[in-house]
Amino acid sequence: MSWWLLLVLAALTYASRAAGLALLPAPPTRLERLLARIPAPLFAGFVALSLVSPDRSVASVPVLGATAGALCVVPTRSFPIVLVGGMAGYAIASALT
Amino acid sequence: MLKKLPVKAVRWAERDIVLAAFSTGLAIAVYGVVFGVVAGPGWGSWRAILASALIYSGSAQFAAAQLLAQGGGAGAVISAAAILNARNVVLGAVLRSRVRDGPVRRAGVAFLMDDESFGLAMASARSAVKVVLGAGAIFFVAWVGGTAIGAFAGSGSVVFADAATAMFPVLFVGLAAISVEDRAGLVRTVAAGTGTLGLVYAFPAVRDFVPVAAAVAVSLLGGRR
Repeated sequence: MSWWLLLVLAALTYASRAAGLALLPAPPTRLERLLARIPAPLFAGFVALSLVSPDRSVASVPVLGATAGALCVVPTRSFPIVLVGGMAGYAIASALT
Repeated sequence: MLKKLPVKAVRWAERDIVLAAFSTGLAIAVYGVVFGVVAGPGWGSWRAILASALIYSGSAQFAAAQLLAQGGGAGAVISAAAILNARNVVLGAVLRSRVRDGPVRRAGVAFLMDDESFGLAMASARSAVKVVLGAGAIFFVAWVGGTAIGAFAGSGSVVFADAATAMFPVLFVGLAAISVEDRAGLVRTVAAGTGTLGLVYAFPAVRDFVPVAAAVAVSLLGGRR
């Protein structure tokens, strides 16, 4: 990793973050409505992303257990409870494997 | 189970945001240690730490470390980083709709906007800027500090890596649960999750952009509000 490559990667990453947040004007109402729909599907996508590795291997059983445990308590919509559900799922799956 | 979900978006209280920020920060620190162990020997300890401080993007840094270790050139590393970072443009645009501050402040906030701080900002009842700055600062310190530990202490310092891996889906399950605003949103969320699962398996080369593409697609196709 040369210094210039490190600086290019830093500039590229920052530019991608600033492009949407700092450079764009406030979105019009219709676009704002569309943008408001994106977070929940996006978070669901991030869940899926964290369950499959770049080499196509599926996450370990305890990680799957943690995800299942969190999903079980989704109706509470409380992060502490989702966290406890995830930890419980992780512990149970670890004990079983 | 999903039918029981209340059909109204909720916002987390400050207590929940702080808990989520610190528990996620612990997981990020563990990942930072792993990065330090992976990159430290080849890049040099201080360069790995500076990379974490200046680039501050786990996916781009891990990709760079992997490509360089395999003999990849600068062009491949820059191309990979560009693809991985493309989703930040969409995240920034979504967050922009909740930020009324001026461009200079937004430019400062942008440095600390990653997947996790974005998620907490969207979930919080507080100012999105304050959440990105507060949670982002925790994540930044965790990432850079973890890298330093990994770079200097070596592979013996990698513990609880699997438990840290489990933290990310748990966090995003929680964030998705509170962000669903109605039954149509619930359908979109489930569709995006299952669709992403299949697509990242089928197209691993562009996996980091799939969640954004799937979320935008289902949001465009979704019903009226």
